Amino acid sequence: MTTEHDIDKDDDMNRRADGELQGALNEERIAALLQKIGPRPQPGADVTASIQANVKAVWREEVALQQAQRQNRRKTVGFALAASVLLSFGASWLLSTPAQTSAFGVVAQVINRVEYVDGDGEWRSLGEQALRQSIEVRTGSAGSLRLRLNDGMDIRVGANSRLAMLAGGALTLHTGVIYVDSNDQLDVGNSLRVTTPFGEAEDIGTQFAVRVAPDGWQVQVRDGLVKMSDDGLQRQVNAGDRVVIDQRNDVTVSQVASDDTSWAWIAAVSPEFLIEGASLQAYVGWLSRETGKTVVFSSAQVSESARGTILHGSIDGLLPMESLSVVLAATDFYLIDSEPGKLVIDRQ
Amino acid sequence: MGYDSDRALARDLMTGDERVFDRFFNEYFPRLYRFALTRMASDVDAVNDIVQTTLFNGIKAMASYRGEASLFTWLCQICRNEVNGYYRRLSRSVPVVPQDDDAIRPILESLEGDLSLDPDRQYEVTQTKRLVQEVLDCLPVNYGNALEWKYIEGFSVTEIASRLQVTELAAQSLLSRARSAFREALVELSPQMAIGR
Repeated sequence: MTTEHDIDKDDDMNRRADGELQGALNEERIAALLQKIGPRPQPGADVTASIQANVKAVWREEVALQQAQRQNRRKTVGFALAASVLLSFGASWLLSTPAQTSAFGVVAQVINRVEYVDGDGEWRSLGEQALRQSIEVRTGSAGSLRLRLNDGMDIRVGANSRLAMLAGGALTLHTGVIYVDSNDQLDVGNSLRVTTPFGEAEDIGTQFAVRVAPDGWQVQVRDGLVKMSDDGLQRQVNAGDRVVIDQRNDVTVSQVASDDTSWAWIAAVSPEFLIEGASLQAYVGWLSRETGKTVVFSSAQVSESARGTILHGSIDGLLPMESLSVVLAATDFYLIDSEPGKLVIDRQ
Repeated sequence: MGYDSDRALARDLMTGDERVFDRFFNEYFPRLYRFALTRMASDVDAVNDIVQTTLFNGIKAMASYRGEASLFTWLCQICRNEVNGYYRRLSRSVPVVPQDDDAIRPILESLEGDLSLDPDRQYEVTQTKRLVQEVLDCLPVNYGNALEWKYIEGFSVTEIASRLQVTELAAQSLLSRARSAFREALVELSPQMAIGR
């Protein structure tokens, strides 16, 4: 049985051992210093309980979100891309088995229910597949998907849409909305053409969306140029413009900001950015492209610092704008609230 | 140096186990509260919001924690950003907090004198006291608690062992390690303290 006397003896031994290691800052001085400083302040019980409840609620949401995103992520594919294959317009809408032909792209991401037409004309659930032949897909009210072609083109299909795609890259949008990001891969004479029941949109630039409804269609351009053709009329749509053509061929032109809410749906199927080992500047470039916001640094010096700041970790499962606070929180960079459509990053 | 246990905690936290959440909260909330308090001395009312937001952001970013610093240090960085953002929004400069530079040393050393003798420096002394308390917070949580229990609250080793649910021998050993860690951390702030005044 240990007595207080024994403990004091042990403390004496400890004190001597500490003295050897710690020089003059021995136990007595530590004790005196701590007594002078006093106990550490504690948050009040009410405040603690309130904040614990609030944080726990956020934690529960985050856990649920991450679990849902992990399930969705399992549907994401990362096939190696091979050479493309050109098929005729008369080809049946099929997804081939892996051994048949080289892939011209992949179904890179599927969110919720998305279907494709099989060889028997039946609608079947679309999953992780390489694109080897033409394909026709349709999405439900909560569905969306992203196709990635070998030439770097990124095609996202929104909810309640039906899209046919030929192996050569030509698209027919029967209804709904698609977003095309050609990632600066288009060469002259290699443009992408989107056919709709009302007319055609030809991509001359980089980022745009085509939406088809029963009473007409529209093209809006985030970056670059798109040429619309409708009943022999041709119209060029510039970046920042939205052109709506209804069934009577009435044309309405309006402005649409590159970060307008009408682009928001594409974030759910944005390509993942791997931040591990990437520079902050590279991340910002991706963020700008995905959100349509102009992201700048407050000075050339800060920009240079961002170039040399290497990120670690993961933003897997986060929407692009959600990822910004996560990334910056682990750095000494911070966001300055700025005018709409523009984000300015400074450094402490 | 790795922080495997912190990384494991971060991973386990996001599995949805409420016991892990409670452990995480109880371990980090009071320490972050004091961290913010040191830096928000003139806006104590905002401390709770700052710490709550820090924990919100920390949890959302938990998947990106890689164990390259301790989890507390990582959370402190997020908290520091929140504090800076708070003052920036108010267009006010961030209060100067004594750091490990020449300015802190004489203040820290003055803690060993009679604090009441120099009323003009009470604010600085208060801040520095908080900084030393922060040193306790930066130690492994059991170290900081054991030192406080032993030397401030006057608990016996037996009582400390009981609180930590370890043997008295283990408690003594832990106290010894805690003193060493505290001394090393303090000496980083003020080398003069190691050789006495």
